Amino acid sequence: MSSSDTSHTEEFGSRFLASLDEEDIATVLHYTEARRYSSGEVAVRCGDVDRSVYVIAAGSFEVVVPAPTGPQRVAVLRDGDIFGDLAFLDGEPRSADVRAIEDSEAFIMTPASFDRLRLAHPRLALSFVLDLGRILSRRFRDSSRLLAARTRLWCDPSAPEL
Amino acid sequence: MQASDGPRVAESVLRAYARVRPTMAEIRFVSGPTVLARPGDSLLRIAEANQVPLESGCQMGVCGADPVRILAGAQNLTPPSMDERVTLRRLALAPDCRMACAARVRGDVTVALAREGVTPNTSVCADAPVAERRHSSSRQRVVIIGSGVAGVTAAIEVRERDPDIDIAILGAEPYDYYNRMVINKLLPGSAAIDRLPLLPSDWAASRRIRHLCGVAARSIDRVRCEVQTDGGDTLPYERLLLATGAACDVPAIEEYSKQGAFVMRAIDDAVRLRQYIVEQRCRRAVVVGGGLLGLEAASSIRAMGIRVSVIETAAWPLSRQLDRTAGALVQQLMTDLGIKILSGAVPRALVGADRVEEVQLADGQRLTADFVLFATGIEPNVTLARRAGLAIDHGVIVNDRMATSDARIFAAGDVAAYRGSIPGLWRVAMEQARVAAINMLGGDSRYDARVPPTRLKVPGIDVLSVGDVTGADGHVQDICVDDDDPRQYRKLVVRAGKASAAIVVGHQALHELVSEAVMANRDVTAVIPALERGDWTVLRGECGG
Repeated sequence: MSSSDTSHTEEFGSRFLASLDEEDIATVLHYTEARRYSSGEVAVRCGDVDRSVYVIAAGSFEVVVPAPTGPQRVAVLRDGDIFGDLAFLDGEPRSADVRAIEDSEAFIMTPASFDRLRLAHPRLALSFVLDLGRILSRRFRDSSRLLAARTRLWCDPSAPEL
Repeated sequence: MQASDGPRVAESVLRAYARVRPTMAEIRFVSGPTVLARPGDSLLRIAEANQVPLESGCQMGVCGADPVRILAGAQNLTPPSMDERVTLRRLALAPDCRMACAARVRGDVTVALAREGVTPNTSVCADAPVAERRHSSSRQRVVIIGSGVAGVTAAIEVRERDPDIDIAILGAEPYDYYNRMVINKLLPGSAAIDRLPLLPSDWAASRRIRHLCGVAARSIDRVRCEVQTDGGDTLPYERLLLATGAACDVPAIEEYSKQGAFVMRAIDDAVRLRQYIVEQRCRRAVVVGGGLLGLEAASSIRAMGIRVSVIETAAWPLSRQLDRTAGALVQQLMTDLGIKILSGAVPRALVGADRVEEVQLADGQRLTADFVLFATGIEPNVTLARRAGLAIDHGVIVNDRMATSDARIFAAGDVAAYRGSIPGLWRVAMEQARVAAINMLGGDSRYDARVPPTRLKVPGIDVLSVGDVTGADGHVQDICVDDDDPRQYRKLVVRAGKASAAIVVGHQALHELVSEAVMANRDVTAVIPALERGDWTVLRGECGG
């Protein structure tokens, strides 16, 4: 992994749909559904099979996973955060509950919305999935690197920490 | 717990959302989601996209499959058309109800499903004042054979016009009056049998109509004016309505009787096919017939993950509804959905050892298929009428009053042939049933044989056809708009200055007003320049709905 990437590409590279221009973004948005959630309302339920991907437009949500000691909150998501991205790609059941912790708003690319986008604007649909794949693989590389660094640290305590 | 370091969307996307957000309307479904919708969306589309359990039907406000109650913001919906008002009255729904498919949003609305907790107001007939009842002398009896859309519409119309008359309706199918238009959705499970009934289960009893469900008529004695049922009952009549409908017509094809050949007409057909698909683990299918039913069924089969091809003998699909250009476009749109259409192809034989494995075409081509679905038109159920000696030409011959060759017997729907034509459409059956009901009670109503609007109900493709789009009969001017988007098409056929037929592919927001203008045969002479420019909102016209 090149470490000479500038900070300019850092923002560009990690944000979903950052490469699309204004007109394309408006077109993609046109194909999404938008929902309001009252505080406490569940947007995604653990175990459900549904491939929608969510973008938080306002408010915040908590991610809660089942654990032997009871449900555990593992993250808080706020506007601009994405969830449901893994199921969008692999179709596996949802791995956690996502619940609004205040009155919130999200827009959603459902499988049906995506089908319509794909039929009407194949180029944008392709950008959408490639970009989703790209940010996920980037996350995967980051955690691999972290894991590698930790492994190194464990083998050689004198190695510099990441 | 800190904020997540998970994936985030670009700021430009949030800014774009903030720009469109003020234009969106808030649609709150009671005991369901709150949706932010774009103006012009129908409540049905919004509900379907957000998992609100609502069944679709004709999508023109006519069949009554999707009633909703508007608890607030009724003024923020497009006003009901004449068609929708007729439907709401027929279903005897509360005054705050709308048909979801025909109500488009313009602002915030609060919606409840009409079937949750709202009992339809079925007391309309029972409460009719006794003193005003007309038939005080001999009691009249109307018998209706068939409990599909024609039979049920006629029964309700007769009761609305005469609170006193005896009405009996018999239907061979063991189900209550249901939404035949969406049975193909039972295949992927996107429709449920228990949501198919179009009327509350007490629709007959509450109107004092005797409903013999699951009972077929065995014979008609025209001399004694009696119907014998297969249950051994005898039903005397003064007026009789034949609404026996039609069965699927299957083309002459070798080895049709093989296992794996199906039709799609009744609930049980869909259930049988679904079972076969699951048990045989079907992967590939062929649909014979590229009409509305064939394409809609193909879309449902595709939704089950099955590769499906459609064989159409005409040069393009929906050849009864579309011209060549629109037909070619729909063929392309279906291909994009993963459904291959072979136009101008003629099936010759089903091939396979003990069940269907291939369909052989006349040109020798062979298509692999684990099953074949025939959607090749209808064959009117005329056995009863023929045995009773009524005049028949394919269907039971009727005049424009829907009377058969026996003045006491009327016919309506898919069994009736008017001027040699059996359109096989829901809306035609309703209109004929209404005409027959009026005339059976001694009134005088005439059937207007105009071609009603039809819509293709395939998710992702919006197609409307209304009026006779094929006929060329002088004084015809076609207004075709060249849309920039190659996935859209529209054509208005103007005859003698009047809107006489139309085809619209895409442009969903125009569907209602185009249908209305054509059905009202509106004079468009003054707005032709605007129409040619592509501004079709002028069709809304001065009639004001």
